[in-house]
Amino acid sequence: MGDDDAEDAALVAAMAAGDRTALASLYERHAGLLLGLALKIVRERREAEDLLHDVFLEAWRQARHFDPKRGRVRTWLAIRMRSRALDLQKSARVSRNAGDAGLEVVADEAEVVSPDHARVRTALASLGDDQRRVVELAYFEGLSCSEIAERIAIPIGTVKSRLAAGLGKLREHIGGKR
Amino acid sequence: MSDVRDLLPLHALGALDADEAKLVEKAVAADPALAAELAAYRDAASLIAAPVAPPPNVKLRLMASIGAGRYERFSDRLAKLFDVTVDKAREFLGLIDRPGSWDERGAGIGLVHFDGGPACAAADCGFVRIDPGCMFPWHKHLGEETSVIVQGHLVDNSGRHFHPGDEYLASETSEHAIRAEGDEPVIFAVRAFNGIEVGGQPHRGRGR
Repeated sequence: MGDDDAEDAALVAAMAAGDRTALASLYERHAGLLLGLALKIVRERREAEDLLHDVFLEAWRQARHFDPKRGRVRTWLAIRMRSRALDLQKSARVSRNAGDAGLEVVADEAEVVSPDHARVRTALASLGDDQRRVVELAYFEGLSCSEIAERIAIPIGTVKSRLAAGLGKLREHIGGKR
Repeated sequence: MSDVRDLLPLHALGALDADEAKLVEKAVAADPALAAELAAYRDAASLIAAPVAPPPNVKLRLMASIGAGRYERFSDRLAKLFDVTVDKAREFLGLIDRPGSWDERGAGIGLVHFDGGPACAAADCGFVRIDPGCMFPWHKHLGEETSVIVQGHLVDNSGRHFHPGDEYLASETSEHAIRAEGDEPVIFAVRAFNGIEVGGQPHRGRGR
């Protein structure tokens, strides 16, 4: 576990003990990452900001259940954000542009969240369009392999191999492989 | 793609159907090495989106929701006023710092509406904001109304002054106008049964 991960885990442990300043610190470290993720999925600023509030409030209330042996804090937060954002998107309260959604790499480097994040973003940009497209359709639109195959009219086996290869390349760029 | 290990990146991206996902979860629960590999894939996926700096109000609202906000001293009273838990009252107080919560009614008046607990099912519940120098016009209460001032300096037409922490009771059929004194907006929590009547027209809920 890297220093940043250990600090994150210590903050969550402090939150579990009722330390409100720990939540404020954790928010400063990861709010940018989570808001970016929410915006890619729901595409509406106010909805995304509400989700950001809700995910950190959930983290505060669920802090005692975080288990550092099962993964990083940022992943724990991102999984919650993605799940909530996709639920919101599917509830049809947020209009979205089907078809081209998730195709572009948004060049919005508002802040550098972490070296890992910068490396993964660079790696994402270096993926081929075909690979990047299936990865983003899965992660940001919540499509299954068969739904992606249908959406872009390619065999499901090709979808699976592109997803695996694409995410595999991104994973290689994270320091301290777990 | 029959090996569970091959399915890990697909599962990390949420792209497996329910049966395959269940298969992977079962295997991961029984094998720490597979669990670590899935965690690494999930971590990579979590970093795909470009970061976006959030506006300051989201953190203000979050701090209010966990009891560290600037209006925290009102959370217990609002919990009683609105028949909700203290945690819920804190979330209500957080709405003050969420610009999208405010229904701007013009003339320096803003309203936030929310649903209170069971004892408030028949009441309009929310916050009222009156900007400095502005007035909430003459109105009649169609039921009992209770307000708690959380910010600013409020004066009614009979010359009574109200400050943060003060409670303002208005009985059914009573009438008044109120205005904001001083340099900061007046904000008060309000629980009003049956709504109000402005210029002979009833106003209730979000349309108030």
